[in-house]
Amino acid sequence: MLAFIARRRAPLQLLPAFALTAGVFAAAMLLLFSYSAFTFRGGQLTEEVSFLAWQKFFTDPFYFGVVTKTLQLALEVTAAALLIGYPTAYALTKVRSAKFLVAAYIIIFSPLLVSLVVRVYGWLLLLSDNGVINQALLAIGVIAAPIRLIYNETGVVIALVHILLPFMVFPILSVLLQFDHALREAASDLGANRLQTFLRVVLPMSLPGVVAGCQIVFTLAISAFVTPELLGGGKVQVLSRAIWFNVVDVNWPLAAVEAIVLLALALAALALFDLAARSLRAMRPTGSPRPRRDSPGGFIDAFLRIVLFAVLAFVLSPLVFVVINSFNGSAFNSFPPQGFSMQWYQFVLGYAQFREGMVNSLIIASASTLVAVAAGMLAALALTRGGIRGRGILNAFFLSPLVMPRVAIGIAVFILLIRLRVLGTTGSLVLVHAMLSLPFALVLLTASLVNVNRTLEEASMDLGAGPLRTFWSVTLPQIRAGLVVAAVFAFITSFDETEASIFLVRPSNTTLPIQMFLYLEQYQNPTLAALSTLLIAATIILVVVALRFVRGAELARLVARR
Amino acid sequence: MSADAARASDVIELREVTRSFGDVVAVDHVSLGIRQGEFFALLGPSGCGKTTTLRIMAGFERPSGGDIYLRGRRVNDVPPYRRETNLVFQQLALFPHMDVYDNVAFGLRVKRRPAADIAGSVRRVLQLVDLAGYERRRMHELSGGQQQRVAIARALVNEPAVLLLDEPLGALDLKLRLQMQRELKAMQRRSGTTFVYVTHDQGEALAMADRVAVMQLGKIAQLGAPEHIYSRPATRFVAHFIGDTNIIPVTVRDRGADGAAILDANGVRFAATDADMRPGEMRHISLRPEKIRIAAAHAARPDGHGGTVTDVTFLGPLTRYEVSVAEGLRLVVQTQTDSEEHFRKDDRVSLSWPPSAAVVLKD
Ligand SMILES: Nc1ncnc2c1ncn2[C@@H]1O[C@H](COP(=O)(O)OP(=O)(O)O)[C@@H](O)[C@H]1O
Ligand SMILES: [Mg+2]
Repeated sequence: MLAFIARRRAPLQLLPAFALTAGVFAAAMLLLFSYSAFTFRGGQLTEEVSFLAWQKFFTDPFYFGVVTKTLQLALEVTAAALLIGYPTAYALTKVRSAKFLVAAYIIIFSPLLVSLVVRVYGWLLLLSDNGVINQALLAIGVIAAPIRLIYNETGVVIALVHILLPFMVFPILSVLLQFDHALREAASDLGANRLQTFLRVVLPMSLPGVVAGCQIVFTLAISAFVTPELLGGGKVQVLSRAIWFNVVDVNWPLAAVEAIVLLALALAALALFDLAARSLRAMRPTGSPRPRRDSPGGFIDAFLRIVLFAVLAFVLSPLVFVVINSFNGSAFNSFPPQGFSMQWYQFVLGYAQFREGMVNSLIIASASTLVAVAAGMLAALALTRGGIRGRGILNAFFLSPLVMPRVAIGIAVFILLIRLRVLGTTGSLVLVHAMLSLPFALVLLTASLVNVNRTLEEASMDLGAGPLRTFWSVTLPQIRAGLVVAAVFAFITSFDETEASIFLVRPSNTTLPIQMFLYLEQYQNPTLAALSTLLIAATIILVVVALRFVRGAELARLVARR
Repeated sequence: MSADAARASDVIELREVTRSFGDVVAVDHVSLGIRQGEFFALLGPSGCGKTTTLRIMAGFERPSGGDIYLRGRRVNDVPPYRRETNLVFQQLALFPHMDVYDNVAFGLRVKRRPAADIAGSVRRVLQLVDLAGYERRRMHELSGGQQQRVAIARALVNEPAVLLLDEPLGALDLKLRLQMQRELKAMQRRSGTTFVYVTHDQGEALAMADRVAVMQLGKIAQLGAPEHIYSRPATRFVAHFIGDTNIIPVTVRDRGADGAAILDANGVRFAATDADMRPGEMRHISLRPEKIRIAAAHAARPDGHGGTVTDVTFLGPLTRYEVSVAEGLRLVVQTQTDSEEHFRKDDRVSLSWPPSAAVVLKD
């Protein structure tokens, strides 16, 4: 009955999500393509079709260098993330204490919850010449003069690995957690020792997770903008920065060409990794997985434990030093801190730009969360129960903003909003952020809806509750956890959005992360540390409150899965 | 020989083996020897400790007490990958990222056998399990029965001293299970390998095994040939678990001239050949339903016990009657549907059985 009603209303339910994705995202991308053919001459943009921008991009060796640098950086980041991420995921599967496991999960995924600019700022504190690492090395006499860790590629790679590590750990971990322990025992029974078992059985079977992790990390790394911009010191010339400078120069055709090339690179990388995933043999287990029964020990486990603690320290350290520095008495981010002071907090609270940015960000994040979750809920209902044809294509369409580099979306939407004469308005930012959050909401809500026990809904209707009543009192309670997680994800996505929004704001109407980005480009003092500490505290409160809602369901399932 | 040496004819010997998990004693002072070339079944209800016993033999569990010998050598501390045993897992545990050939060759490869030898061994064992020509199939391209045979081939190819099987047919449907029972038995005969077979299905154990050990709460309740266990169960648990039976509480009244005991069940008196009872003692006997003869009251034999039919169930080839013989004594009787007389509810009948049919139980 519910399915029947859903079927009749399915097209209507899809409308909000479709309008958001087509009206904002698809329209902007089409406009981007057309602008790449326009002409920029003598500092002027004209709508004359010439393909000069394409010609310049493919003949000027400078741009070839930019593309190679972009790919090289992404490769380095992916390799480093894999090297750290695999042992981390493996070590997590060995953790026996449920409490420690939950703590480790939260720490490893915490970079996703903390503003991008805050994380970059933390790495500035750690890596700069008078930063923690150099000062510590100088103090123990390992080096005589500070070594350059930022304003070059090293710093950019370190910070990107830090930011992208969860995307590597999570897919590998989920494959390893589903690993049937009986297979390990079977290998042992057939004469394989622990190393042979790992190399011949565990590693090959976890390759799908490795490929998925590399795919996400590589795709996100080629389009990173804030990190190379702030930590590269102008020396790490990647495509995203070229786009940014061309937009500032009003050379939109060239920026459009660069965005399209970036998009093509991202799609090519996705396709290549997909090919790799498909070439891996089908790995359907023959039985249902059995949890592990024995408890091997030994030095391998000791080694894994050390790796895990080192990674947790790596993930936490930038945030920890941000908090420490916020109480620094000196104005130069010096380490160790010189005296204790609350002056930076006073400054933050009195700084009008931050206050306005904060208010704007809260309004935009709340409104866009509401829009994204509502549109996502309706679309998820239609997609899971509507019996719609072409569900796969629709789903791919709704998820497509995920694979587009944020910088490319930024320039495309920028052109669209200029044409519509709404650039910089709060409403436009709400819709853009809702469009960016919609894929997350849709994925999470669809996953929850698939798990809903349909018999309960039928029982409810059998007892006389109508479809709306049934949805409200039977379906909704079952997907509460998914709903909360979707809302938190959407809120954080919007609140933290920098790389697209930086094209879309007006100086008079800016969001908080962009105020922070602009501040960081100009000043180097602990003001940002104080602001970041406040944001971290707010995030912790948000997560704790969210966990209260999710606890019983999702968290227990997460731990019980092992 | 040292005191440690096990009996030469036993491939595996457990001596007083115990395994506890916290408060749960999964295996409780189990001693048993498994002979070269036999088909040995470990039978018992779910949770009685069969899997744990098997995993101790395979090396996945360490005994908390007692010793285990493999071909006369104490192997308590030998890890699974250095034991001459192989296990066919309950859930098969076939490697999904390998094809049939690679699965079967796995054990020989990790032991670094020359490739040519491996090819020969794999070919022979695939022939033995009737899977020649399936080398390049992947696991999800095989039926349940075929996957089963791959799991057995993967273990057998290593020529283990003992092949351990943990409810290997549990996941199959009834028809395939009966067919695989016959095939397994045939494979065991052809390869001459010693099999230790864990199952909770008494029919399976009786049909396949040379000897059966019935387990209850971590202990061995009875060990012997299937016919022996069926016809002379030692305890109420074994008698109940193996087939249908009447358990009757009795008092020993007297000893007859031929040495048989005269028993009394609620006033119904009959003889039992089983000795070793003192008059006045209270015991239980097991009386199999198919050992009881049922006749019309007017055709009663002199040793017959009169009764009334209270329930009739038609089971196809067999018919099952419940007969009330005395106050509080109701016996189940089973007859061939086509060979005997038929009775209806409330018919007066007479029941009789030979003294050898009443098996006196230990508890
Ligand atoms: N790893 C373990 N941890 C705790 N208890 C266990 C473990 N393995 C088995 N047990 C317990 O030991 C008893 C026997 O289990 P098992 O040998 O699997 O029985 P069976 O195979 O006869 O069904 C059960 O009560 C079971 O719960
Ligand atoms: Mg078992």
